[in-house]
Amino acid sequence: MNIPSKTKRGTNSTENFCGQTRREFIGNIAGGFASLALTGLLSADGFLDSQAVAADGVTPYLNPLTPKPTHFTPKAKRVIFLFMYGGPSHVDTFDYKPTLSKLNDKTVQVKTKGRGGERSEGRIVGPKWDFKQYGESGQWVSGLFPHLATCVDDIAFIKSMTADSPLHGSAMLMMNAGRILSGHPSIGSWVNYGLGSENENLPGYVVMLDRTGGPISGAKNWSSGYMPAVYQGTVFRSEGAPILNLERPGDVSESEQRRLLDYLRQFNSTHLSKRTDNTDLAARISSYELAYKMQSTAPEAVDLKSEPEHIKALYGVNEKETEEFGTKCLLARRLVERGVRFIQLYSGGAHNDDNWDAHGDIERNHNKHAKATDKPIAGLLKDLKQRGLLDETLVVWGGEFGRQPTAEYAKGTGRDHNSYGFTMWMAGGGIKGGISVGETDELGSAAVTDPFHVRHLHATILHQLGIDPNQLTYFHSGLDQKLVGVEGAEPIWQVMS
Amino acid sequence: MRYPHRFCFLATVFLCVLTSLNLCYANDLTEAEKVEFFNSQVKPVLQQNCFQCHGSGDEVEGGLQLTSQEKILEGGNYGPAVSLENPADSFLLEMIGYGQETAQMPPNGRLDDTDLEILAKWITLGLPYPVQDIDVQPKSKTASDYWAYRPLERPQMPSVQASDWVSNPIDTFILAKLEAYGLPPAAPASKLTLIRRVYYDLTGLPPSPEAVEAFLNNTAPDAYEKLIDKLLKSPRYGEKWGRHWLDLVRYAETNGYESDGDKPYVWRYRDYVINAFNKDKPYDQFIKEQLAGDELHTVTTETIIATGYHKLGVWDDGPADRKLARYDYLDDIVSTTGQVMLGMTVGCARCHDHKIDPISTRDYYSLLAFFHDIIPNNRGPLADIGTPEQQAVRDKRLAEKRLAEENFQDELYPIQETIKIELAKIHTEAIADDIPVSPIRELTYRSYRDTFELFPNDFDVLEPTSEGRLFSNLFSLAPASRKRNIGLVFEGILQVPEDTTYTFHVNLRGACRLILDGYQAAELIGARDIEIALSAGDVSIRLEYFNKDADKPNLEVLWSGRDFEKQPLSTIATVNFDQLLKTHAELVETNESLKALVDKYKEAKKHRDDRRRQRVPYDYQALAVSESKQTPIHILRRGNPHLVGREVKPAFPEVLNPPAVDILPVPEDAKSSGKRRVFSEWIASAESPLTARVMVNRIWQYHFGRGIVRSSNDFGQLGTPPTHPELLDWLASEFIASGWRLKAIHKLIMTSNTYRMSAQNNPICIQQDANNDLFWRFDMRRLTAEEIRDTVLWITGKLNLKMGGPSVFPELPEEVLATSSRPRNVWGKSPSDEANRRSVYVKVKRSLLVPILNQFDQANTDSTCPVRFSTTVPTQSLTMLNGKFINDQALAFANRMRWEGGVTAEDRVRFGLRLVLCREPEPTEIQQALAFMQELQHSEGVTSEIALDRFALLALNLNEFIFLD
Repeated sequence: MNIPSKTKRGTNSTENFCGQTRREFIGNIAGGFASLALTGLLSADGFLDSQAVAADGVTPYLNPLTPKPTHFTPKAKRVIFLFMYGGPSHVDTFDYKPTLSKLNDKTVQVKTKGRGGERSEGRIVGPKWDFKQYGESGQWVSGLFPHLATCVDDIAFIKSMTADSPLHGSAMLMMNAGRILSGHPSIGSWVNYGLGSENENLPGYVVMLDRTGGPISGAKNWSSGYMPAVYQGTVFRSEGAPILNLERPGDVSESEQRRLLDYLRQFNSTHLSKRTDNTDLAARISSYELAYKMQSTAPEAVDLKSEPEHIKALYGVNEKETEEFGTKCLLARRLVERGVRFIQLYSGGAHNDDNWDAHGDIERNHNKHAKATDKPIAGLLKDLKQRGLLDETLVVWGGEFGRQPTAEYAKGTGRDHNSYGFTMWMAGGGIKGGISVGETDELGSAAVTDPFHVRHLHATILHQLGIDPNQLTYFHSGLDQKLVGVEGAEPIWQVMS
Repeated sequence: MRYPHRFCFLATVFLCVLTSLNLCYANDLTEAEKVEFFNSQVKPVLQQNCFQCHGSGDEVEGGLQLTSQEKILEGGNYGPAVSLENPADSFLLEMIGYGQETAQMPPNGRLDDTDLEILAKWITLGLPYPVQDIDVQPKSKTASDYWAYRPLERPQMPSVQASDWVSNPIDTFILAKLEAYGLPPAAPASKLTLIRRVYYDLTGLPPSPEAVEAFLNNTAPDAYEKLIDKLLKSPRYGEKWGRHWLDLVRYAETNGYESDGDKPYVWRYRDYVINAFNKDKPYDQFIKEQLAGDELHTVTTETIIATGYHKLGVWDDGPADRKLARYDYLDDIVSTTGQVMLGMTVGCARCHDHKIDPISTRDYYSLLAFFHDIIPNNRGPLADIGTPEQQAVRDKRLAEKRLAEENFQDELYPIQETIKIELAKIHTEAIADDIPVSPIRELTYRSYRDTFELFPNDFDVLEPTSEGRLFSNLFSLAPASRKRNIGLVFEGILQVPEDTTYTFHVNLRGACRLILDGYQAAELIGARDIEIALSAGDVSIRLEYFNKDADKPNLEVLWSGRDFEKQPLSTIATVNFDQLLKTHAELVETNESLKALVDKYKEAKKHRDDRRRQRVPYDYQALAVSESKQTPIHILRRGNPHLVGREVKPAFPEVLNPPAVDILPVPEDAKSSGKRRVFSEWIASAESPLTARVMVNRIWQYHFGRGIVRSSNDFGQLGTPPTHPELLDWLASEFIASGWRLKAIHKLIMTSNTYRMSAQNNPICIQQDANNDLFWRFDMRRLTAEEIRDTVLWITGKLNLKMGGPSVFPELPEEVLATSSRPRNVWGKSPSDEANRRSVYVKVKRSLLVPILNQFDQANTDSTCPVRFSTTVPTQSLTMLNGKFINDQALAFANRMRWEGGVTAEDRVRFGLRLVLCREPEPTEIQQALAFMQELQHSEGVTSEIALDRFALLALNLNEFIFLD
C-alpha cells in the first residue's frame, strides 16, 4: 500500500476529536488560533515548540500557517495549477479521435449534456487541428500546442476525467473545492491547512487571474469555505503591487512608515506589559513586522528585472500574444522558488470567448487561448526542469470540464460543455512522464476505460504532497469534512513514478 | 502494492487474512474472544452499513437478513451469502469487494479496507454470531438520558463560602466550582474597563469621552445598572445583536453560484431581525415567526417578512441535477434550523444514521417533511406587503401605464394596416402569404375601448379609439389593443356569388352581432350556424364584437354556400410586421409616401415601447416563504434523490421524547400546509429540551467570548460538554420564566460579578486552568470586523447612524472588483455618507467580499456560523496601514483633532487618544505621540500637519484600540 496508515476507524473516535488534532479541534470551536486561553493545550501538543520567531527577533509569532509534518514523505513540495477556465476541448487538444474526422458533419446518436440540456444525437465536428505523436513516448498532441508537444515525455495525461456538473458555476466549485455545493474550502486552502506555508513573508496560496476578469463566482473559487480566512487564496497581480494594500500610500516614504511602526510598537509594548500572557497581542505586534517585510519581499518576488532575456523569451514574455500568461508562468516559477505552496493561474476570465468556453467558433477561440498559453506553459516546464525544480513541483493542467464531440448549434463549430469525459494532465512532482491513462469512447463523448473523478485528481495532488487524502479532515457541522468527500477517494496510482 | 482491480485487492486481503488467521487467530481465538471480536468489530460495521436494508422485519432487500448466522447461511434471493466450507467463494465477499459492476454492496460506496478486512476475518473465523436476535436498532434509546436531551429542570443552588462575592445566582454557580478547585475569582474590573466592555458588548461601538466621564463621576450605587438599562434601550443594541443572529442564519443578499443574483428585498429580513432585538421580542415568538410567520394565528407584515428566513441560503439557479438541488436546498434549511435552534447536527443523518448522536435518517427525513412544500429560493412570488392605500396607488399607476400603452397601440395599428395595403399596391407579389383570399373587400374596423358593462346597442354613437382599413379583409381581433372590455365594429362589402342560402358559421368567446345588407342576422354568443338567403352581388356586411371579461377573446367566422365548403371570413394570423418592413426595406425607400408612413409608424412604435418598458416602482414587497403542495416525502437512501425509500410523515427526532405530530387538514385553497406552524410551536416551547438551553448558551457566548457549551451549534456528543451544566439549566429556566426575553438575561449576566471580573492574569490560575474553563477571569477579545470598521468611522465622526433599508456599497479597490467575472457591474455605488453606515447595512454579496470585513473574520455566509474566527495575519496589518479606507479615515480623524481638539499639538493628541482609547491618556503616552510627530518633522521633513495625519493612522492601529479588556 502506498498509504501507510489505514487506521481510519481509529481516527474517527470521539477521543481524538474526529480526525483533527486536539489543537485544531479546540482552535475551531474556541474561534481562535492563538487564543490565550489555549496556550496550555497548545504547548501540550508541541505547537509552541515549532513556532517561528517573528521578524523583530523578540516577539513570538504564532503563525497559523506554520509548516506541519506530512503523513508520509512527499514527492512534491508545491503545486502550480494551470486552470484553463471555460473548459478546453479534449478532442481538439490531447485526446486524439480519428473517428471524429471521418464523421465530420454527420449526425450521430450520442448522449450529451451541457448548458443546452441533454441530447441524444448531434452533428459531429471533427477536430480542427492535426494530431501528431511526439516525444519518445509518442503522446498525441494537436497542432494547437507545438511547444508543449516537446515536453510530453514529462507529462502524464489523464484522458478519462469526469465531473458532476456540465455548468460553469458548479463545475468550477467542483474542480476547485471538490463539491458542486458552495461553501467548501478550495484545494489550495486544504493544502495550506494540511501543510502550512514555507515562507511566512509571502502568502501560502496565490491566485493569478486573467486581465479580462475573474472566473464565474469570483472569490468563491479560492475561498477557504468553513475554514478561517487565513487559508483563503491571495490574489496576486502581475502588474503593479502584487497584493492588495501592499503599496504604501503615495505620500508615505518607507522610513516614515518605519518610524510609525517603531512608535506603534512602543505603544503596543506598553499595553502588552500589563497583559503578558496574551499571545494574541504579541502576535499582532509581530504581524506588523511581517507586513513591513512583505512590502519588500513580495514586490521582489514579482520583479522580473533580474530575469535574463533568454529566460523571458523562453516564456514568451516579450511577445504580444504570450506576454500575459508568460509573465504569470514566470512569476509562478519565482513564487515556487520562494516556497509558495499552492499557485493557481487562470487562463481566461470573465465570460464567453474571453476564456476557453468555445460555444460559437472552436477554431477562433482555441487558437487564441492555446496561442496565449502554449509557449508559456512549455517554458515553465522546461525552466523548472533545468533548475531541478520540476521534481518537487507538481504542475496540473486542465479546465472545469471538456467539450462535446458534437456541434452546439445547427451551424458552426462551437461545442457545448462535457463533464462525462475530458482530459487533464500532470507533470513533475513525482508524476510519471510520457504516459496516458484512461480513455474516452471513440467519439470522446464519455470516459469508458478507467474513469477518474475530480476527487481522484484531488486525492492525487494531496498524495503527491505527502498528505493522505482520506486522513486530511476538518471538523465542521458535526462531520469530518474532507476535500475528497465523506466517502473518500484513491489517488490515481497509474500516474505516479 | 497497487490494485488496479478492487476485487483482486480484496482477494489479496482475504488471502492475507486467511494466512495470518490460520497462523495466529483461528486456532488461538477462544469463543469468548470471538464474541468480543464480533461485538467490538463486526457488529459496528454491520450496523453502520448493512442493517438498514438487511436487518430484521418484512422489508429486507433481496430477501437477505444479516441478523443471525443461520440467516446468513440461508441467504437471500441469490442463495447463501457465505460458504463456510469455502470462505473465499462467499457471495458476500464478492459483493462487498465490488468485484462485479452489477453486484456491489453497500451500494453507496465500497467499505474501506479496514472494514473489509474485519468482515473477511469474520467469515474465516466461521462467522461467529453470538446473539440470536440482534438488536438492529443502531442507537440505544438510553440516549434520552444524555444531558442535553433531558427535560429542563431548575437546578438546586450550590453552597458557597465566599458568599459576599455573590451578586446574583450566576455567581453562585461560578464560585462553587472555583472554590471546588481552590481558585479565586479575579478582581473586579475598573469602571473604565467596564464601560468600554459593556458598550461594545451591547452596541458594538465605544462610549464617547463624555459618557466615560459621566459614568466615572456617577457614584450612585445603581450607576452601572442604569448604564446597562440605557444601552439595552439604544437602537445600536439591535444592530449589534441582530448581527449575531444574522451570522447564525447565514444571512447574505445574493444566491451565490454562477450568476450570484440578488435576493430581492432580503434586507427587510435584516431589518426585521434588528427590530426584533430592539423590541425585545420574546425568543419563542421570534423563531415562530421565522419558521411559520405565514401560518400563525395572527399574520402580519412583520411575520411575513420574518419567513424570509427560509430564503437566505445559497441557491444554484442552473444546477447540474435539479432533483438533488431541491434536496440540497431543503437540507440547508433543516441543517441550519437543527443547529441554530436545537444545537443538533441533524444534517449528518441525511445519508446515514448519525455516527455518534441518536439521530436516524428517518428522523432527518421526518424533519425535512415539515419543510418539504417550500418553493425553493427565488422561485416563489414576492410577498405583497403594501397597505391597501399603497396597493391602490400602484394599481392606479399600472392602469395609467396600461392605458398609455394602449393609446399608442391604437395609434400604431391603423398605420400598420395602411402600410401593408400601400405596399401591396406597388408590390407585384403577395407581401404575406399566409393570409387566405377573402370574399370581403374594403373592410374597415373601428375599435372601442371602454369599461362596457353591456354590449352597446349603438356603437355608432360611441367614440372609437382607433379605426382604419384591414389589409387582410378578414375579421380579426388584432386591432384591439387589449383583451377585455373591448368592442370592434367591422364594415365591408361581401361579394355574394349567387342567389341562394348561405350558412355563416360563427364561433366566439365574447358576443357578436352580424348585420347583412342592413338587417341584423343574429346576435349571439358561443358557436352557432346562421342560415340566410342572399342575392348575388355586393352585400354590405357588418360585424359587431364585444368582450367584457373573457381572458382569451376569440372570433371565428366562416361561411359556406351551395357550391362551396366553409371559407374563412376571419383570421387569427398575425404578420410579423417588423420582419415585413425589413424584407421590403428597399421598396419602402423608393416610395416617398410609404417612407413617410413607415417613419410615422416607427415613431409611434417607439412611444409605445418606451411606455411598455417603463416600470411602475413598487417597493412594498418582501422575500417570503411560499409553498406548493408536494407528493409525500420518502427516505432517500444515502441522500440520493434517485434512490427512494420508505415514506415518512413529519415528526420530531425521537430522542427528544416529542409529542406526536398531528397536522390538521387545511382547506383546498390554503396557501400552505400548516406543517411549519406545527413544527415551530413545539420547537419554540418549554417542552423542547434544547431550544432554551441553546439560546441562553449563545447569549452567554456573545458576552464571554465562549459558550458554557463551547460548540454552541452542537449540543450532541461530538460537541464539547458544558463547563457549568447547572448554570446552563438555571439560565435556561430563567429565560423561559422571563417570557423568553433576551434583555432580562443580558441584565442578569451583566450584573453578575462573574461578568464584572477583570481580565488580569493570575499566575496560579493560569497554571491550573489555562483554558479558563472555570471562569476565574474575564477573557480579553479582539473587536469583530464590524466593530473595527464601525469604530473607525465613529472616531472620525463619519459614522452615519441611519437605520434600515436597502444595503449600501462602500467603495472597493479596483483590484478587488477585478476578481469578479463582471468587474464593471458587480458592485454598486453609494454616496459617501451612505457608504459610511454601520457594517450591518453593507451589502452582503456571496462572491465578492469587502476586504476589511473579510480579513477580520466576518462570518462565512454559506453555512451557519456559530463562532467567529479570530485570526492574526500580516494582510490585516497591510490593510490597516496602507488601505485606502483606513488612510481616508485617518485624514478625517486628523481633521477632527484639528477642529475639535484644540490649538496645540498636545491638546489635539489628547483629544484623539481619548476617542481611540476611551480613557484619559497618560502624560507619557502624550509625550510619546508628540515625540513621534516631532521625529517625523525633523528627520523626514514633513510638516506638522502631515505629522498629525500620520499620528491619526498610528492611533487607529493601536492594540488597545483593537482589543477589549
